[in-house]
Amino acid sequence: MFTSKIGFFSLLANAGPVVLFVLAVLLLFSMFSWAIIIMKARSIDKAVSESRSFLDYFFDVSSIDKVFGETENYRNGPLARVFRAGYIEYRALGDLKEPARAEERISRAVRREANEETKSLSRFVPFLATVGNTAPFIGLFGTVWGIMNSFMSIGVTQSASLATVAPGIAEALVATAAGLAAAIPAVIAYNYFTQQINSIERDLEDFSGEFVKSFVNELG
Amino acid sequence: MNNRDERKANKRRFLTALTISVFLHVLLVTVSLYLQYLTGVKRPQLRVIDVSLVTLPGPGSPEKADMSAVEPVVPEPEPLPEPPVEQPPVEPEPEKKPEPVKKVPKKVPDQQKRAEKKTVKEKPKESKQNVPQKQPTDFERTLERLRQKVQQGPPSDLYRRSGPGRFGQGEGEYGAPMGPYERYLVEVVTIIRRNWSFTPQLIGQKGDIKAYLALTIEPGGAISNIRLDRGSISGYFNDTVVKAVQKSSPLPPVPEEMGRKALRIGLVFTPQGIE
Repeated sequence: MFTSKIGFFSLLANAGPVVLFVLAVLLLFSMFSWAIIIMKARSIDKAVSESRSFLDYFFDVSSIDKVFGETENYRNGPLARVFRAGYIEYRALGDLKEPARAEERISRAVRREANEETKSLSRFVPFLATVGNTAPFIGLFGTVWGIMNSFMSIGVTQSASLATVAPGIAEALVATAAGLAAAIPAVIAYNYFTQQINSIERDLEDFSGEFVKSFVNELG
Repeated sequence: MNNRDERKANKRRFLTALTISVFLHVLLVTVSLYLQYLTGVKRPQLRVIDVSLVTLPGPGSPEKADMSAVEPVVPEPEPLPEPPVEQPPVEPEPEKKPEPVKKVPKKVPDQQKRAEKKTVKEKPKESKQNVPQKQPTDFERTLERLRQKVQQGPPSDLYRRSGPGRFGQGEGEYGAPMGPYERYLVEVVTIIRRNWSFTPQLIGQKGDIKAYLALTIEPGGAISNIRLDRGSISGYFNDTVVKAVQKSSPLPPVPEEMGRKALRIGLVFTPQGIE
C-alpha cells in the first residue's frame, strides 16, 4: 500500500520493540489527556458561565428563597451549588436563633461545599501536567534507545555511512515527535484550565462570605 | 444519593470524552496513512543527478564521471591511445576500422584533427558543422564503432587478466599455485575490499554497476595516480570505490621478486566485489 519509503508509518514498521512500547504508552497518554481536555473544557466552560450568571441574579434579587429557587437552573455553577449548600444549612437551623452559632454552621457548610467544588473542578487536571512533563522524556527515552541500536548497527555493518545511521535515527526520532505531540496540547490545556479554576476559586472565596452574610441577615 | 448520581454522571461524561478522543486519534492515524499513500503515489520521479565532488581535481576526468552518473553516455576514446604502464599495448582492432581513420587524415589532416578534438570536448552537432559533409560521415561511423567497442569491453588491457574472475574469495579458488604477482594482487585486493564500505540499498536497481579504476602502486606501497577509467552510472558507487583505494594507501611494498618497480593495475568494482 505504501509506495513512499520515508513516511511516518514506514519508519514505525522497522522500529524495535522498545520504541514501539514507548509509542504505545505515548498514544495512551495522548488519548487520556485528550479525553480530559474534552471533558474539562465543557465542564469548566459551563462552570464559569453559570457562576457569572448566578452572581448577576444573586445581586439583582434580594430574597434568598427566590435565589434558591433559581439555583435549579445553575446546576453546573459552583457558586450556585455553594449557595444551595448554605441555604440547606440555613433551613436546617430550625429553632436555633443564636446568630454566632448559626453563622458558624452556615459558613462551615459553605466552606465544605466550596472545597468540594474546587476538588471536583480540578479532578484529572494534574494528569495533564503529568503528561506535559513526562511525555517528552518518555519520547526521549525511545529516541535514545533507537539511536543506541542504530549505533550498534554501525558496529555490525562496519559502515558509518549516512545510509546506515540515518534510518535508525529517523525511526528513533519518531518517539520524540510523538512525545512532543502528546505533551504540547496537554501543557496548553493544563495552563488554561488552571487559570480558569483559579478564577472560580477566587470567586468562591470572595462570595462565600456574601452568601453567609445574606443568610445571617435573614435570621436577624 | 445525589453524590452517587453525580459520580455516575461524571463517569459517563469521562467515557464519552474518552470515546471521542479515541475516535479523534483513529481519525488522525487514518488521515496520516491516507496522506502518506497519496504522497507516495503522486511523488514525481525526479531525475537523480549525482555530482562527484571528490573526483573533480583528480586525474580521472570529472566531466566523464559526472556525465556517466547522469546517463550512460558513451565513454570518450581518451584512454585508448594511452598505453598502459605494465600491460601490453592497446587492444587489437579489426582490419577495416583503422583504414577509414587513416584515410581521413590523408585527405584533410587539419580538419580531421580539429574534428577529433571537438568530438571529445564538444557535442557531435558542432563537429558536424565544422567538417565537410562526406568526411564526417566516415569519421563518425568509425568513431561510433570505436565507441561501441569501448563501451562493451574494459577501457584498457589493464583490466584483462588470465586468472580467475573475482578476487577476495580465498586462495583455494585459484586452483593452480599463484605467482608472486597474483599473490600480491590478491593481498592488495583484500586490503581494498576491507576498506571499501558502501550501502547497496543506496544504489537501488540501477542496472549494471561496474567501475573500472586504475592505480599505480609505488615500490614502497604508496598508491598514486588513481584514475576512474570508467565510472558506473552511480556516482555514489564511484565515490566509495575511489575512497576505498585512497584509504588503502599505503599498501604493502611491492615484493622483490617482482623487480621493485612501480606497478600499474586496473581493478573492476561491482557491488558483488572486486574483479
